[in-house]
Order: sequence, then structure tokens, then C-alpha cells
Amino acid sequence: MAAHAHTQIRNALAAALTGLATTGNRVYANRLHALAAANLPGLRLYVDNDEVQIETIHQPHVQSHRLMLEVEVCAQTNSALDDTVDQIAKEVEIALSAGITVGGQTLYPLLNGSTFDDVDAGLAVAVKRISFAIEYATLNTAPDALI
Amino acid sequence: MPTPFADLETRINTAAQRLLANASLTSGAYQVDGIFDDTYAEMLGIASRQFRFRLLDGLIPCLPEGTAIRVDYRGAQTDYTLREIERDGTGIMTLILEAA
Repeated sequence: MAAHAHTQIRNALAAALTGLATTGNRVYANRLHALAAANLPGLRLYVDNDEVQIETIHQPHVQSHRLMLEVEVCAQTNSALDDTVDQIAKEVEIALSAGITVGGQTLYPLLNGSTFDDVDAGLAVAVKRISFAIEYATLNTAPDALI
Repeated sequence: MPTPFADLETRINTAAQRLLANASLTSGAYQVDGIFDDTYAEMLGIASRQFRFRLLDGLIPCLPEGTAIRVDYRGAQTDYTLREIERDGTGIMTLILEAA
């Protein structure tokens, strides 16, 4: 049995975003601990809300999902901080425009928007949170298999 | 008018700075000793540092933001950029520094 669709999507997202020009292999899914200098600039990935709608009456019923994904662009620099996160955001958006492959299907992350935070410090930090939505469907009896 | 508390405050500040100074700061023609803090700070889920240099108020003039500062701390010289000056009103000023 395959992993839950959320896990498959998160893994596919991480694979699609690994190797970008600026962030390289510094891609962290569901990271709980603070990023250190060696992890930066880097990406944090989160699977967030999943809105589910029942599409059929009969069992097993079809569930359509709208899964929210957060890609956090994290950087730490005292020069051109905004430009750095914007450049990474550009690389992320281009990489995901080709879609991600999950269970043999190509899913296209839909850009929802982004927010930006920065904090001045001895080493200033910034995080741009880019929100995507992914739409897919499963049967209620098989949350690991996309249909 | 006698100001015994102000005199005491000045003496304590001077003694504390003399005894606790752990670094030297150089900026242009100025060189002063003070207390340098290099502390861990986590912000936005990212591990960072905060750099502060505390010294007796009046030892250096009011430097503008962006002034280059060199700190000699634990045998290493590191360059910083001045971002803020905080005066606490008791005779101590704190320079908020950013890594250059």
C-alpha cells in the first residue's frame, strides 16, 4: 500500500524543488527546528489545509481534494535580502509550473499568493511564504490512490 | 545642587565597564573598550545572531547609522555596520551591530 496522498504529494514537491540554482538540496519538509546557517538559503515545505468535497453518493464515494501547500523561502543575509528571496521565489514558481508527478499523474500546483516577513538582526533573516493549491481526487476507501 | 545618586551611578558604570569589558571597538579615530555580546537569536524559524556593544555613554560621538565598526573580541577582529544606538538614560549606550 502506498503512503497517504499527502505524503506522496509532499515528497513529490520536495523532489521537484531539490536542485534549484539558489537553494540546491537545502529543502526541508515539515521542518520543526530552526534552520541554521548551513541550511540557508533553503526551502521549508508544509502540507497545510485539505478541503474535501464529496462528489458521489454511492460507496465508495469520490472525494475531491484541494490541498494547500506552503513553500517557505528562507534566507539570511545583510545585503539584498529581498532580492535573494525574490530570486528563489522565481525559481520555485518556475520549477512547479511544470507540475509534480504523483501516482503516475501530473498535478499542477496553483499559485495562491505569498506573504513576506523579515527581521533585522546581527544577521538579518527573511521568509517568503508562497501558497499553492493542488487539486486531486481519491476514493474514500483509498486515500493513498489518486484517481 | 549635590547629586549623590548621579555621582554613584557614574562611579558604578565606570567600574563595571572597567571590570567587565571584554572587547575593544574601533571606528575611525575612536577606540574604546566595552562589553560585547554575540548571542543566539531565533527568528522566523531561523537561527541568527544579535551583536551588541555596550559602553559608557559619551565615550564616542553619536555615530550615524551605517558607520563601519571593528570589534576586537577574543583575539579576533570582526567588521560590523552600526544600525542603532540605544541610550538607556543611566550612562550606558548600546550599539546595535550588523555583520558587515
